[in-house]
Amino acid sequence: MSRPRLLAQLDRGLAQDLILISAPAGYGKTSLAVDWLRQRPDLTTAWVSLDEYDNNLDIFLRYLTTAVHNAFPQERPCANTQTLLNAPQPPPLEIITNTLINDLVHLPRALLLVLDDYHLITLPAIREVMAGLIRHPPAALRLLLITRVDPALPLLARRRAQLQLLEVRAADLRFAQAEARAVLNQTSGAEVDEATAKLLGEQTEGWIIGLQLAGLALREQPDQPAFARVFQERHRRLMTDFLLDEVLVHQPEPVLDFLLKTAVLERLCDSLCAAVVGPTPVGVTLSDLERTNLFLISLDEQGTWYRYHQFFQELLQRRLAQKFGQAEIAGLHRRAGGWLAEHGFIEAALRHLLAAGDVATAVTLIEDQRHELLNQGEIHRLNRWLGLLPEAVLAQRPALLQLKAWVLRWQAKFQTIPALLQQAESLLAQETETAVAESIHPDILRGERDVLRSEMAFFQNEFQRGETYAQSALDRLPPNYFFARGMAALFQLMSQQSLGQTEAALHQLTIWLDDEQLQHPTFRYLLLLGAGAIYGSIGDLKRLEQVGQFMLKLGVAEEKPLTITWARHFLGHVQYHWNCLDEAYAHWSAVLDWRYQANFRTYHEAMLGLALLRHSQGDETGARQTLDELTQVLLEMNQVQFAPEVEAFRARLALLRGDVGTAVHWTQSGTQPARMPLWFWETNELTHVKALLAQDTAVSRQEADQLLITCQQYAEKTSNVWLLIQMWALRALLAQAQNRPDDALDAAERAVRLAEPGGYLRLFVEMGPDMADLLAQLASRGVASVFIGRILAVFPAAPTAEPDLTRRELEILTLLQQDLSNKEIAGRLVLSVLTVKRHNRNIYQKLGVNGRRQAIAKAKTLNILS
Amino acid sequence: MVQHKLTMYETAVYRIRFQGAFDDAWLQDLSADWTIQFNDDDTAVTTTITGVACDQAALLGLLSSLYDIGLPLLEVECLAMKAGKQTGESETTGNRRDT
Repeated sequence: MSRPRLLAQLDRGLAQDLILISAPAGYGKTSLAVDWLRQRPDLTTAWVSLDEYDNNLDIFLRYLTTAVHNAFPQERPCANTQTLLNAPQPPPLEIITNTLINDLVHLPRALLLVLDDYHLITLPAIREVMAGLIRHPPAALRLLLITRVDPALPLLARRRAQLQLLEVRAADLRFAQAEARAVLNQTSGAEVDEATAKLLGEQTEGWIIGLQLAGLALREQPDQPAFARVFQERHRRLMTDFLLDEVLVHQPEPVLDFLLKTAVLERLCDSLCAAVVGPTPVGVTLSDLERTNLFLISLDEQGTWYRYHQFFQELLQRRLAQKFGQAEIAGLHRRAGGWLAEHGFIEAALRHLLAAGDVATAVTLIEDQRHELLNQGEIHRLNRWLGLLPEAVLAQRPALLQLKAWVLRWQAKFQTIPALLQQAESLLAQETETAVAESIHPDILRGERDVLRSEMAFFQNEFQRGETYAQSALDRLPPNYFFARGMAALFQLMSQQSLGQTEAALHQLTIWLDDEQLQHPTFRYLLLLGAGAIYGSIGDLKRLEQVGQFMLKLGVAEEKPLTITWARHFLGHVQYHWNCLDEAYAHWSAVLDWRYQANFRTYHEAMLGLALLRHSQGDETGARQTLDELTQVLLEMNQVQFAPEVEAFRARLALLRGDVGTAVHWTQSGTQPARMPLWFWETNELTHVKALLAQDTAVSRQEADQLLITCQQYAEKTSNVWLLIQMWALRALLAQAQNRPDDALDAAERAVRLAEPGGYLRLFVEMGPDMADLLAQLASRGVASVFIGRILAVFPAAPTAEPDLTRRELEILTLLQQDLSNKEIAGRLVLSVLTVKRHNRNIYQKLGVNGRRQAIAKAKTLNILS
Repeated sequence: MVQHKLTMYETAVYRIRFQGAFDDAWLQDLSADWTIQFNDDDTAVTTTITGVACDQAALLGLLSSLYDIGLPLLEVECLAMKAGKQTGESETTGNRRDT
């Protein structure tokens, strides 16, 4: 029934950014909005129907952004918000809010966003996001909230007072006398006399669902006025109860049975109803019921799926509980759960099974589904499902305990994993039952466990154990467990490489990649990750680049953020070392777009890389800000285990600036993390060695020597060429500082020979002018002169042209210019005279002069002094 | 107190009493039409707010906001139908109006 007055009211609402339809249940709120939008095909609309299960920020935002994208399929304006969804560690709420607002600010055209049944949203996080949206309304967005209760939105009263809000409320929605009669005529299928219509209209207070129920009840009434009188005198009975009784009492038994029993369903289709109710007689199909106006709403064009009008369903459910016992109702839920599970609606199935109290079947369902979901990378859903189960049940199921371990791994919470595995293992050991479901066969569970153990062993540098566990997992797990097998393959490949069996690892990799049976995207992604790790470690930048490009193509095509970010991570690394700094910048910046869905390490290392690039462009402030931001993010995201790496990086940049003091201070702070394999940057030990070399004392050189020996042992043991290149280059500088020129050239040559196949340039440049000297000497002796020529071309102009004076040295130089004595300078700067003399020597050396007067003159010509 | 029948859509004046008190930030979201009175009993602070709710959805919205900020409800009374016909007993002490 069209209601022009209300439609016009809603049209006026388009001048506001917020429209509120707020009225109790059964007032026809949704129908009004649907009617309005049918009349306004000119409006671009995104409609989100909420239910109580949507009190989850990820689900809510997924529905919302999907609805927006259905409205703008080309532009997909909420793509940024979608990158924040289902992150292992959810981003801070304000970031989500701001991202959503930003996305909506860039809507291509005006959009009306409808949130139906908004009162069901009780989660504070969602309310906060919505409050942000209301506080900073994007210009092109109109918001229509349909709710039973006024929502808690900021400044609602003020908006109302200032007419910045259009409201349609119960008083507007209620049916006036004439309209009420039309409704009664329509639902009863007969002409209702005026007096009866008036009485029913008054009794129902113009409440549409009351009128409709009354109209249905009138159908079977021979005497309309008599019915109206009974209705009026119903006394202490609730109006809806009275009317529903009147409607239901005239339904044939099978229809009544059908209505009550299917009231447990969120969505209905004939096949599901048959499963729940049992075979129904001809004439009781959903489309039959819809024709007789029994509050069914069709959900699709084909007439397959329906739902009950919510208020009617609530009435039916109450009646169901009165008429049937708990056990019977549980049976309905169990049958619904069975049908839904069989047809792939797992989450709805779980809800029905749990409503039936059938935890065992719910558990089996999750256990059976878990590998398919792991294969699809849908760990966030598994996490949600586990949350539906009681803790006590979890503690009894080894498969679920291990699943929990997988979830924790995904969330980078590794500490509690061993305990969970232990718990699962002791349950498995007690297992006496031999005939268990295939998906929780002890062999499979032990296989899963060994994957996790393999990973942990690998990151503890225990490669032999890592390899053994991985092999055990691969032996036990069925071929279609792509994710678990892929992880086992990854850690087997990396363990083998670290054990010096690079050839064997690469051979195995090729076999797997070529196997037709294994062409699953998840498995292939994990293999490529392994390939990247191996090529990075053996210093094969060309192959690493190929792997990166291939992964990037796959990741973009499959819309897999993890694949994209690892690909960019590899490519940024390659381009940086090839001195293609713009390309490196592009790759690392792109990782930041996926910050919350990326493996955190890729984000972390991209930020470090960007800081380094900013330094190389002379943007010291930018470099520092990047590292500060990273530190902030580590705190926000609860990833403080990465913090020591950031501190090491600060020291590294300090050294590049010539700020030895800061770097030395860092070496004394004692916060250096354990060495990790797979570390794509310089390890912290190597930064430490650089700091010791810069200190330039006999003691520090000795310490550097010790560190390099450890480093060499580790690098050789794990056949890590990338580490060896850096180690030999630093050893060359050490020998040079120790006045052992032959050893220096020998070490430099080793570094160059190892670096040449991969084409590493930047790492030599970072080591400063002394390295340039050594390389020049090598080239003049005919060692890799073409390659060395390429390296030298990357070095900044001749070292003497711009001497790298520290702040302290500049200070002293200024005081030298003022003709102060060493003793006076020492007094001013609170230093010992010996220290001042050492600084003087350094200044003279850097300026290439032999004394104070020359130094001042040279500094003036270089514009260091005025 | 209430003369004729109250409906779901009627505008009416309500007096709401709850345990505790709210701060100014929260007051900003409350309509300026509401008067607030803080009562310092021997035992605990209670607050009474009096004002117009345009219908039951608005009243329930207000009550659930109180619930959300953790203030237990002591009493709700409908004083009069329709705005402007306030018939509640005059409350003179400690009356504070928010604008």
